[in-house]
Amino acid sequence: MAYVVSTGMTGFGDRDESLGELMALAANHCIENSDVDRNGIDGLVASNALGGEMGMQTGVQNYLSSRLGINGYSRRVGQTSAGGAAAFKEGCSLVDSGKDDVVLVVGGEKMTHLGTSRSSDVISSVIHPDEYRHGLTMPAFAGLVADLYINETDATRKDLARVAVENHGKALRNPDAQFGKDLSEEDVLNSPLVADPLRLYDFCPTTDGAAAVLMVSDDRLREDLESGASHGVSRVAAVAGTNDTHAVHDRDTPLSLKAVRESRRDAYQEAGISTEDIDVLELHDMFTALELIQLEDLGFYNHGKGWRYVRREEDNGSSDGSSDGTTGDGDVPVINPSGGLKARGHPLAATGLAQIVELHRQITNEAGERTVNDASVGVACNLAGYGNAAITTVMDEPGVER
Amino acid sequence: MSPDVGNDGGSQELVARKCDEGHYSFTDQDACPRCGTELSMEKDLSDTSGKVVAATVSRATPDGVRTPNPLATVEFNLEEGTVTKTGQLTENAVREGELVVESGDLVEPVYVEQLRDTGESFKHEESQGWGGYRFCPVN
Repeated sequence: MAYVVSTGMTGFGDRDESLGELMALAANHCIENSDVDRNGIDGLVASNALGGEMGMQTGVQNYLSSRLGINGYSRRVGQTSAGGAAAFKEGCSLVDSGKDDVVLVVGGEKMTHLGTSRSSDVISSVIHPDEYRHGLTMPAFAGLVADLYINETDATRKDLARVAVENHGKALRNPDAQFGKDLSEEDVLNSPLVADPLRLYDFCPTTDGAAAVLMVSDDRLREDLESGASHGVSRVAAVAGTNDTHAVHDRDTPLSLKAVRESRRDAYQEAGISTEDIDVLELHDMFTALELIQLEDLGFYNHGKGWRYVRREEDNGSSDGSSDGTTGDGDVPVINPSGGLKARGHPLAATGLAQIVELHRQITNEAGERTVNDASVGVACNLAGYGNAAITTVMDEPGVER
Repeated sequence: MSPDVGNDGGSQELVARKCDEGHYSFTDQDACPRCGTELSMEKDLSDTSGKVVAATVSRATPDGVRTPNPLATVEFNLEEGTVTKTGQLTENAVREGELVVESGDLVEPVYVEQLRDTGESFKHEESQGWGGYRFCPVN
């Protein structure tokens, strides 16, 4: 079993530091927030999606271990925009296997320097060749998915705008978030078209930033506590990852993500939880409709009903089904207290770790004015591409009975 | 048919394949992308009309891609099911800046030698093939 004992983050946004500097900044914050000595770190797992491709440091794990003074073995884990969660999963494996007792996981991305057109093309190179040749981009996929979602469900264009409004409102209480301004539905609906029917404020921004977590084994945690350590602790109850087809058109539908459904199933089962146990949820809302689709695939709403989330105050909460550890009845926890990708920002391979940082801080009551009362179970879902892979993580408060 | 450039996992042809489990796809990969079983049936759909399932106009396009870039996911009917493909629409799918294609419309495939300018693209021209089918609205 692995435990998170410390976290660190840079603020997300348009930053001047290089990729290596950003990751070192988050890592140093994390180490300095802990009782761990840096030469006692057994392993370093770095997560970075496109550093070399974007003209930054290639093989950033070696830069980091040298710069940070960590003698333990370092490696880089890649899973495109789910790299943060993939690195976290790797760190858990190192601890669970007994190989390492103390592991530092750091994710970072530097993106804003390239400009939108170039960075969009570099990011698009992760998609299937058959799609890349047609000029498909992540926002273009989003436009197709949103068109289908509106046509095939009772969701409206306005429902999608409300997703953006909610996340921007929450980010106001997160000092690390990229956006610190409120949005209205009109702001979203009047912003420039990017990929019909989606507009600029339907999308997450281009972001620089880094996040880090320090995890320890059972034995190491016990030693720390016996020696009087007083830091907050969260437990990794489960981390599960699954894949789907690379080309999106090879799936039955883009409106339900098999990788999310299956990683959710495995993670909930391993952690022994159902949707009713979850207090806080961090979603991969790269665009507005994706937040609603994830709510369906994570079991909070039935297929095609996720739009009920943004109309919940006018909803009578009627149940429409249940299955494998899910309620599907719209009984939702607090979603994206951080502001999510939409408003916190999305530095690709840092995002999954920023989600873990948020869950840890919520569970240990270290999230400042956005702290969710009595949060003891948190779930994060991190996606690679448009669902090429998904990693669902369950974090909880050690020793709390469910 | 235009020859493919290397085995990049993306066919420039419009040949639907069916695996032993009954999944259809346009893949030219080694096995069914959904279940990994062997691909056993092929059907050329380059002369067949399909139905638009979803459409968009990508207005903030990357280097080397036309602006605007109208795109659609198109469904083709087969004897025992359907197969879908996402790709570019022809230029006449946009009039005065507005998309004139919508869900349910019929389109027909039109082969294009080069779908984007490889000199401007991040991926190297030798990384994959660049020809393929656009979908033209059927009046």
